[in-house]
Amino acid sequence: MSLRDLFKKVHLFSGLDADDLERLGEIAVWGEAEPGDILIRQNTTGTEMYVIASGSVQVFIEGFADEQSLVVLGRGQVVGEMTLVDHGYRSASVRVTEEGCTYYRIEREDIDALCTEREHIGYAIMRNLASDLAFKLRHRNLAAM
Amino acid sequence: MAEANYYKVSYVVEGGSHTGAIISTDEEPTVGDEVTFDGAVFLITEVTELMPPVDDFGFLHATVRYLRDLDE
Repeated sequence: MSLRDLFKKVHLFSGLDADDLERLGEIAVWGEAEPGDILIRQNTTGTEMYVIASGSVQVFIEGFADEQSLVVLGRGQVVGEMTLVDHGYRSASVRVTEEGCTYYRIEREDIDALCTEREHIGYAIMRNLASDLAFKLRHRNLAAM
Repeated sequence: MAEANYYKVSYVVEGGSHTGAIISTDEEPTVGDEVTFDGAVFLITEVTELMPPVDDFGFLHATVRYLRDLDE
């Protein structure tokens, strides 16, 4: 699947046109991770977010509940996106599942610069980011029932 | 449910044996479909709208039942 086809299916980028997605593609760096690799380590500072292109990752809390998965995130999902908002420590760790995964990594300063250059991209991403967090919260609530 | 081009789906496993998954798909999931994540195959037993659709995206919640591991 091409980067543009993937990004069209990423909720965080909903509402952006082909030209906007192409600009996002210019700041995205493709990568591949093996099963068990840690993409994000809890309580560290990180400046990047990841768009899962294939395979999947598990989100877990270190030292809690035997570090069992809180949720599995597959193709088209985004991890590490809270760095766009709070610049804080990572709230959880992210481990690659047995499937392995490929991803696109985007640095916060690159996406900040793009959102400043094209404010409508910034508006769309922040709107979608809030919606994505609401979706994940609703998922957690249902999973806990 | 409203038509959409892409669907973001919250999968929750019956009985809490697995914490579930969030996966995007082009096809609207329906009851009776099988879905694979985290090395296992699950049967979809219920689909509801989790949030109203926005742009090209529909937001769904699916309850699933564990069927088997992928390598079985």
